[in-house]
Amino acid sequence: MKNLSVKASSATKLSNDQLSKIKQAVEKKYPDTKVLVEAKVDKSLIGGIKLHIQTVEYDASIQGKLNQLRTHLLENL
Amino acid sequence: MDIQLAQIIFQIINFGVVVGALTFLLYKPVLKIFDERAQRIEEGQKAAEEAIKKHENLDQMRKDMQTKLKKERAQMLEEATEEAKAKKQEILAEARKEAQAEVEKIRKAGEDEKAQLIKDVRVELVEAVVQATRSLTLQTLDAKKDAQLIDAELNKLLKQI
Repeated sequence: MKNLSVKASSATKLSNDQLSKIKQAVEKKYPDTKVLVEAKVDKSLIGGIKLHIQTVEYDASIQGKLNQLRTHLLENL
Repeated sequence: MDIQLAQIIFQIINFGVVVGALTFLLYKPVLKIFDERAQRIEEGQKAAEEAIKKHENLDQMRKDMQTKLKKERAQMLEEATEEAKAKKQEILAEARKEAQAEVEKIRKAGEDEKAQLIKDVRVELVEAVVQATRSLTLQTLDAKKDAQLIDAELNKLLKQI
């Protein structure tokens, strides 16, 4: 069985419920893999969560949204 | 008083001899001198006439040359004037072109500067908005709200995986 590492970053510590939710969702997407969720606290994210699955990044953090807001405003203002 | 024929004849002969001698010795040389003098005068007159004629020719040649030079000078002056006019037009056109290019350059620089200023202001404004939003979020977001936010975002994220 192949190992799949998932990095979950957030400004506050993730609960066990949240971690298992992540693990279940990834295992469902990648069957026949052993999913290892690595939680990390990163205050610079301000809030929300950021996931790294293999080479793909899913950014739902406040800092990410502020960056999106900055980009959107610079392009459209 | 008797007329002596012999004496008369002698006198006639004597007179004839004198006349002959005078004719030969005096009249002919004098006549020759006169002829030579007349010939010299005539030659002198001819030479003078030729000189006058030559002078007149020279004068005419000088006048012709002056006229020719005058025409050439006028033509040269006209050509030089035309050339100067063309050069003037060329210089003016070049100067006008350079001035327009300079104006365009200044206008472009002004526009670029204005665009850069607007861009700088826009960046500063955006950064101010982002920083204000960040500060507001930091003030209002506590651990509980963050947990709720994470739950909500996880539901969306895990659907994307």
